Amino acid sequence: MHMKFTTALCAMAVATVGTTASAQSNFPSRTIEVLVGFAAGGPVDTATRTIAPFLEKHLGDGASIAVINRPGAAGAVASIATSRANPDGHTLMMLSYPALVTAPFGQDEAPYSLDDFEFLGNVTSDPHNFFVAADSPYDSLDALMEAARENPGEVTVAAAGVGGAAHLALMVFEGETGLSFNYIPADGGAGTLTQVLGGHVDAGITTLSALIPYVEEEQMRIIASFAMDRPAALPDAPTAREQGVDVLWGALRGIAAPGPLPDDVRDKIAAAVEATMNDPEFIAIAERQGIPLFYADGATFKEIVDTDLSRLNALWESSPWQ
Amino acid sequence: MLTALTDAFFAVMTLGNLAAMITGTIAGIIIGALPGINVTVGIAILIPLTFGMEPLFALGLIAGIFNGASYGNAIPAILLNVPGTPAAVATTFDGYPMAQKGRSAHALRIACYASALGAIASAIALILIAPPLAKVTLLFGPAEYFWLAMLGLSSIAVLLGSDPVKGLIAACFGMLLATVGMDQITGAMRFHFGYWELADGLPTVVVLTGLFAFSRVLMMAQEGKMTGVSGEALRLSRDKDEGPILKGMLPTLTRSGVIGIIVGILPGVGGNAAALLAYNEEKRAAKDPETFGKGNPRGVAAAECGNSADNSSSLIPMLTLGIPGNAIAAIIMGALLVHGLVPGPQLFREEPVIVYGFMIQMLFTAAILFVLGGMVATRLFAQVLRLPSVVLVPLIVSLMTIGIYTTTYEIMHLYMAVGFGLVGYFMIKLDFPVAPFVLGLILGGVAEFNLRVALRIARGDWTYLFQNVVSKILVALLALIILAALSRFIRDLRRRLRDGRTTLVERETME
Repeated sequence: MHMKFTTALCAMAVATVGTTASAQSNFPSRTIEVLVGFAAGGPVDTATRTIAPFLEKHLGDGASIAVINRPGAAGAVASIATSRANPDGHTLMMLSYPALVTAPFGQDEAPYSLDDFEFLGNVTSDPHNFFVAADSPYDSLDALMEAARENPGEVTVAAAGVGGAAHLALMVFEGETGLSFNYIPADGGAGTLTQVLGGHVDAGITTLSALIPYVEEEQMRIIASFAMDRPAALPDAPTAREQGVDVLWGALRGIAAPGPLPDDVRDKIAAAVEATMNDPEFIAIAERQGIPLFYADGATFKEIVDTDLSRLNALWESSPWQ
Repeated sequence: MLTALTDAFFAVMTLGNLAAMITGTIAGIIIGALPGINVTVGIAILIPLTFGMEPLFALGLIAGIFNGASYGNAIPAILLNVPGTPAAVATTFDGYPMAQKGRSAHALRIACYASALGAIASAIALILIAPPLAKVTLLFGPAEYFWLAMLGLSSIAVLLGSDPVKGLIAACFGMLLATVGMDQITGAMRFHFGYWELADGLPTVVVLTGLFAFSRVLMMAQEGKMTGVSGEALRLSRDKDEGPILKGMLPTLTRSGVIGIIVGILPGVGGNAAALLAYNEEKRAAKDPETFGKGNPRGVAAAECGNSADNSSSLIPMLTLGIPGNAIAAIIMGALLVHGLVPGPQLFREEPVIVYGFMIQMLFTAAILFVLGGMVATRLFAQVLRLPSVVLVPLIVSLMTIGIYTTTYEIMHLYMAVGFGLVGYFMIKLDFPVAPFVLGLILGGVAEFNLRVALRIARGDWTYLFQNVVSKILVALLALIILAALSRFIRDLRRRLRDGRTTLVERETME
């Protein structure tokens, strides 16, 4: 309680004084805040809290990091706060993609632009997957696609949040195959799992890390992973690509900051992210917690985001999801 | 399982783990007692500190906070009419009137023992029948959730009080506010007025804290008592005529315990509703419903037993299926993940000592409540009443502000708390019952979302809503409740016509 309280006090102090202080090479001169767009205890939060002490270590100079949860609107609240923060490196964000680019779709006024952000390095990559209950009659992607072909729009597929990453995975899949499913909005990733386990829907889409224990327990079956290759943890899970459907889709999480940062600050943080991602101790802890690490430097990260954004724009043009 | 349980028992009973459980329970009572700081926040703040701890040590702290807070929240509810967390809203209904009659210590003891018993029953359910109970969770699809929410909403009828029209207005107001935020089916924004902070709807905890805690603080400020209650008037020692605290309360505790456990297992409804539903049921079943709200000890027992009985049971879907049913379960799941423990069926096989150890800790910390809450905390906390409101009011407002702000770092939530505090203040002044509002706010969204999802799955075929056994049972229960209410209404109407009185309202007010 003390920690959070002092953080809150710092935040208040910073709000009043911080605007005048510009970042020079004396970074970090105070506590660095890493905003998380989701509630404490979720996968994004856990990943952030795991990486924070290592970022402190690799930033050196007695850097101290506070993880701040700003949940709301699938991460949009934290993204907005980050985009409006002082670009001095003392406000960072565990960016969650594609939520970052999908939030503004369908809104009259975009709350931020991608140019507001400085991408400093990707940390995790968690592919989405088409999955069914172990006792489902649809035991393969072919069977499910066949059913959708015979009864267009009748096969029910649960996925969290309309316009969210999992729902878009389904839309991308539909766009690629020309099939049509009955999308059932679920209450988060947990809701998706319950719907499928309880047999209330035919199939579901969620991230790999959430599925691993169920697949290992033979309660669920992945019929198509939207990853590049079969996941190392589940070598029996086929990819969509190997079954002839070219869909790659997943959630990326990385460190971003409000831009533009001073060059020396940006380089310092980017170097700390890279050093962390190569730190054997960090890798060991992340593996134990089932955090799917995937490092990409800021420029590559930005490139992935830009490419996907143009694809999503095209998708939005042809079939807006709101 | 028996060997796992015995192994776990000895793993839990180390000096360090015992200390963790006791510390956690004390911390939990304090967290629960501070308005604005709820148990979710308390545990979330603790999590980063547990990174370096032994799993059972960390889990002992968490179990203690979880159970401790569900009694702690009753303390300000009874003493000040300010619920420590939203789950204690129903505790104020009879707890505060008891305190006003000088029976605050008695009310605190009832709250403590009822909380402890509810939490113990829930922990036993967790240990003994978690896997079959988890399967019940899966039986509840969208159609079943819709009927469950309707069932909860129908219990508003019991809460309506002396003026049914005002009660219905309050309930509809709550359901109206439940529509704020992003429509989860189409993605359209509803009533957000350009504020992204409202995309997820009104934050229930903030609304309830404002509505119940801040409004009461305003009342306290208005009364402006310059002196506190004297030590004598507190009457901390046991009354001679008090008798055994829980005498004759077995039916009450059984009913509320079962309601709490069931509500806990089902994700999405939560402890705030559990206490209200338990209270409603107690009032409905009572021979003397008119004494409720005026200091009936059974009202306090039902509310506190209900909100504690959902503790352990709310962990069942998370531990057995790996699916967290509420915010607290999600946070505890995070704590387990940090230690490399992935919740789900395999956890029972791979780490039986830790799973069963945690369950035993939930049981043990509930038992600690008896001792700590009954003897120490009650005496200590009742002293709060001796403070004059010039000291109490700013104290509570500061604590609330810190609590709400540190939860989300959202300045808007502070404005909301103040705004809903004013709404609550005027509701009290104008004699609108607040409980129907809360149930409308919590269950309105659940009903809407699940009805629409169910119809979407069935592609518009409404018979889907009646297809499964669970749905049929729920519909039958709903029909019973509505018929009972109708027959009561007709009976009242006949009597009124016979007596030659004009309106129901008039009759009630004259009595």
